[in-house]
Amino acid sequence: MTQPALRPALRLLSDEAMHKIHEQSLEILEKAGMNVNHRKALQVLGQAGATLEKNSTRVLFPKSLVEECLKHVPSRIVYGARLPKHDLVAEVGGEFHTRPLTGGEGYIDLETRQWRKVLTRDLVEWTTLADGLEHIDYVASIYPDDMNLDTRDVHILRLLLEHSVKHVEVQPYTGKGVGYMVEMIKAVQGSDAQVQARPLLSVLTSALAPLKFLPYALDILFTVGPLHVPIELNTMPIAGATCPVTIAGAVLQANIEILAGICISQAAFPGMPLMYAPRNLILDSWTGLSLQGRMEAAMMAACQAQLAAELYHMPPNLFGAVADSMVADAQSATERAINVLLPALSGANVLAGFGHIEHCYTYDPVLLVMDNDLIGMVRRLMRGVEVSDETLGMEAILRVGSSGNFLIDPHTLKYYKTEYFVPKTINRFVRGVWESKGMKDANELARERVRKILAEHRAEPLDPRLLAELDKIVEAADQAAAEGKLSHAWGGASGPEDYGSYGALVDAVASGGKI
Amino acid sequence: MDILNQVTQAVVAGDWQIAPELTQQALNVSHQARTILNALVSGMDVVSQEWRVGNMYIPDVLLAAKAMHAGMDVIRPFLSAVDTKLRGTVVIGTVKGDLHDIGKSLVAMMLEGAGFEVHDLGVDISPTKFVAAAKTHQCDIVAMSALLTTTLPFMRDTIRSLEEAGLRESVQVLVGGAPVTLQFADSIGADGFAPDGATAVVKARELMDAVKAGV
Repeated sequence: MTQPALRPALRLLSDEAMHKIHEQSLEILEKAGMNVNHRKALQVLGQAGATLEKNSTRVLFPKSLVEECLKHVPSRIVYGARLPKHDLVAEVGGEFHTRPLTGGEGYIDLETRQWRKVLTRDLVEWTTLADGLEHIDYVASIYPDDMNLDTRDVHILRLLLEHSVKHVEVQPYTGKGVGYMVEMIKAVQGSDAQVQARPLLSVLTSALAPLKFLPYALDILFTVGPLHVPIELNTMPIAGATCPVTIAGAVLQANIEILAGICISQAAFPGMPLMYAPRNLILDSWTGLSLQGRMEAAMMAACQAQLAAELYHMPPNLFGAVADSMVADAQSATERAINVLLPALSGANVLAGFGHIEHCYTYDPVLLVMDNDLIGMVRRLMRGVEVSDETLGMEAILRVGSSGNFLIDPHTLKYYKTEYFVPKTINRFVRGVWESKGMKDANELARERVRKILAEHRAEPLDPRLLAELDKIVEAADQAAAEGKLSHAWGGASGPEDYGSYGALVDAVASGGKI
Repeated sequence: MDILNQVTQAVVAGDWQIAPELTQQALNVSHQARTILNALVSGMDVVSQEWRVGNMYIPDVLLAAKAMHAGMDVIRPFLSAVDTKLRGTVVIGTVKGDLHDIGKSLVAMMLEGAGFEVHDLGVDISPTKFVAAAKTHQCDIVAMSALLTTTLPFMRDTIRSLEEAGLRESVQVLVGGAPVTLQFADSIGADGFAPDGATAVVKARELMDAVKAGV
């Protein structure tokens, strides 16, 4: 008799609650809609049946359009990697994968433990470390301060591809360089078909709460869409500031913004792989800061994992190891553990944000190593409790009876390695032994492991000819930037004023004409 | 309770509906507008102090500011222009290319709460617009916010535009937002940097004090 392990599960929302959130999302999308500040997106939405308004970028989404677009969202996404053994499948109901934080700009120096703005060498160190950690499944961009801003995203991707063999995620800060990024993965993968089958790259793009999409965000979507490069579809509403203050209200508004993104992407590129990837923030009512490490943030993520997986059958991608603490201390450990556990138990397929402090602003290599152990523990949890005649060990109990022990019983020997996860940077000694080993705390143990990985690990090198090809693409981007020719692929602009009136666009869509 | 005391308490309680009524009553019993103004402002001072020590929260502060301004609307016709300017005039906006609103709005409301006259220009504000607003409102402080690193260069551009318009000597420049550091603020020649809303208020006051002291 073997009972498969029950998948550990947490459900914070009842079926009725989920449906209520869905119904109210549809109603708000139909009545209030979203401000979609992007010419191409407006065109696509207009043609798909959304209601456009003259001289406005507001779009109203009929329920039927949202329902139709939801049908095209895939529930299984392949994340390719430079070495195919690191390919990942994110599938609703399946296991979770992990990536470090993206988007931060601060870095804690490994040796001095001092804070600084991220430098290019930090990006290389960080990527090497993430590549070398067994529980970090893919790598993500960090943002050096010593790079030209116009082409920073392009330079970052070049370095990530060189220093990691795992899947790569980038959160572009402008739509201008994304075309070059697509060229780079096409160069590495050899063909469009390879990119489509197992894309090396995924990108994060985001709505802006409340109820807006900016030009650059949709430029990213429209640039990667034709090749079905996966998108982590994000929004970061701040509870009590840019969305309702309650957990339910925050989850509702994030859902509306994600659904609008689903409509734009699926109307333009049906079947385009998307992850449901909101990152709710909470306004601290005393300091006015947007915090993430709170229990309530973890509860929001748990609700969102459930909504995505159960209601929309799309892979949930959530924080994750978030912390508001300024240092790698007990506060950060509590925050990270809570925020990983809740969404993991609620069905997340990707957990993000590993290795940081200071509400997503600062990376700490020591924390990435500690998080690696945390992930190992949570992975063990998600394997659940296997109950079978074998695992119950009834025979062993009968064998040992009341007088023996289990120390080298065959049952112990069979299971002692696989039943327990063994973390690498945790102290498990008695005091005297710990003292004799130098009285190191977990931070120090993790730091030693960082040093070891950085000394020993190198990603398998890219073919020098490929690297040269990548450099050519980067140079082309730099050249275009120097000449002021770097432009948004779809007429994106820095702000609404550059778009002028949308009246003509609305007329053209209404008459079925070309824009 | 003395009517002036009641005015102060209405501000502390954030009761923006009752504050104008009480202000009117105070006028009716022949209190000087200037005296009533002090009662309103001292309510705000209590709130600021309570907030600093963690007994009150930002929504309390913003409501109190709303109550204070509702009271001020009643006495404004009886005050000189100098009195209504209170602590100083601020023009604030999120820089060009950046449509992030909330941090800037929070700072604007908190500055208002601290007694500044605030003109919130909104988001995606070009250097030209900052300069025009600085002229129109004859402001003491130009405050700029940015959330995207990619839009930081517009802070520098705006300062240059203020210089070109001959305004740099007469306005103080305050910058803030997640990617802004003190080092960056110094490098573009800003007068003040604030990493959060609370510091923005403190900094704005310091800048005004420095101006008044002729530093």
